[in-house]
Amino acid sequence: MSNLLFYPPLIESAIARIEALIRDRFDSTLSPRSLALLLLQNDPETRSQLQGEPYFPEIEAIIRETQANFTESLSFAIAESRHNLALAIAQEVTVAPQHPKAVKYEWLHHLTVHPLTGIPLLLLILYFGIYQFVGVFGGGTLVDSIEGFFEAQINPQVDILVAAIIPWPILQDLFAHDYGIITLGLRYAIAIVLPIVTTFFLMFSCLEDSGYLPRLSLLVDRIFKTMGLSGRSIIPLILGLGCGTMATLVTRTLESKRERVIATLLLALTVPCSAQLGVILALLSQEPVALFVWTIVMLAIFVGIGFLAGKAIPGESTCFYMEIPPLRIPRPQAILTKTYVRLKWYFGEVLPLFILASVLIWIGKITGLFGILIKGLEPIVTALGLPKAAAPTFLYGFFRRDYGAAGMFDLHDSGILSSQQLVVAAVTLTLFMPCIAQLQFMFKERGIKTTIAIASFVILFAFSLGYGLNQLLTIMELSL
Amino acid sequence: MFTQGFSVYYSPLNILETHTEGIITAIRNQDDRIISKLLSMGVYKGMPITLEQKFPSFIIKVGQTRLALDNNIARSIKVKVIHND
Repeated sequence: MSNLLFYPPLIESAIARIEALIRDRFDSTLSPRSLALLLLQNDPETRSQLQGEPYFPEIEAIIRETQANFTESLSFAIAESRHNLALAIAQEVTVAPQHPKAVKYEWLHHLTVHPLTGIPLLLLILYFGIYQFVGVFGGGTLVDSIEGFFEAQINPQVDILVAAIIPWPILQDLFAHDYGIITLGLRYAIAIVLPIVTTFFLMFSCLEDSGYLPRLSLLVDRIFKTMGLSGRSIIPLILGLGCGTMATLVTRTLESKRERVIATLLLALTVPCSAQLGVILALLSQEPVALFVWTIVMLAIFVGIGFLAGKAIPGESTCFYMEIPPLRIPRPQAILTKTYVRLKWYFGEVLPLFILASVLIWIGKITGLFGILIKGLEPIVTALGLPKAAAPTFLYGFFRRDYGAAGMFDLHDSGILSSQQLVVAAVTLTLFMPCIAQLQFMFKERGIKTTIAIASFVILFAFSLGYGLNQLLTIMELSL
Repeated sequence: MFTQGFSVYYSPLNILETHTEGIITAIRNQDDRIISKLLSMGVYKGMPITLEQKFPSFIIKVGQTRLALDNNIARSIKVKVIHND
């Protein structure tokens, strides 16, 4: 059997006539035959390339004439010939077993996609995968032990060592003490962010390799359609629970521009990244009611803003199609490699920013600039019903969201925040500006205008909602 | 009888019952990109198709491939029903 691809005679003769017209007259890296086929399939790019040529009307006449002989579009006829050849080749080289054995994990597939079993399963995966594994184990157990080790062993040593090497207290502060590069920047990166991000990426790689994510997409598609999104966008949004910066980059896999803008907005506003999530879960898990209020408020904002954005942002409505691969048990080696590569990328992005944040805080402190900015934030923070000591947290939160949340951790440990204040601060910080890295990627992916619009909305919304929530909780006299 | 036979020949996928098996007889959508996406995933005229699920999304099996679709795309696939249980 020949592996050469021939189309129906009418199409072949049309190809030959178009080829004759463009050969030696139109310069392209593609062969005349490929160009002719693209033209017959109405490829917009090839058409616009040839539009200006004097013989273009002649080509169009050939296409029209050929099309008149077919009931369906020429693309169909061409695709059909290709598929038929592919099928014939496949049949020639494959042997089907006499009794095809039942496909592995077929029962599990049905459990994951049926709404009655799939949604409880989804909640279980979120509960164990994100809350228990990332929040409680990563953000609690691991952070506590590494952080404790830093506080007890490394920081005092660094303070002593730096004091011995550098005689000037101002320069000592750059490396050691409360806000130093090593004692604060490195400590946050290694003790708080590393364990949380590692556990998140481990879990995400498992979900990815098992083939579960497409099933998750089809379960949520209908709900997401009301927000102007398709089920496909659950993947960047879930990834946003790991790292909003990486997720913003991944929004480029979405089908339409409108979907990408809405997903970017939701990522910037509502989706907490794993570092933030870990710290917030660890903080609020001591106060179950506070955790409950935070979860409900965040979910309501996610759905509400998504719904409004779907109405307000113009563009075509979304469509959803996705191939569903068979379920597989992930290979541990692949999971580890993926997690390692992601962590490497993450730390390449994050570590310089943590160090930069320490340096900026140092400069801000010695020049008095931070004092002015914090003074400016204090009335806003007081309006939210928070103590003045929370103002620096919001300022640091801009350098990295997780940095701000980690600062809140310190505040709570020292017993300054009440439960109501904790909820208000947690909600406002989650909504507040994405970290500087995510902002940078928003500029890169969405352009200046969209990013400025999203960023101003996020800042305004975060503080007004924090204010409203504080008033509401006070009026309701919810004893948290 | 003729009208019934005709409508069964061109039933859009979204009105069929779950577990229906059939042959794809046509793919029609105003958006050419959707048609070419379906073609590239192996959904084309003459292929056997099984409708596995309708809610929350449509799940179909075409040949060896399993796909999830929304209502709008499901409507654009016309099917001749062979087996219905």
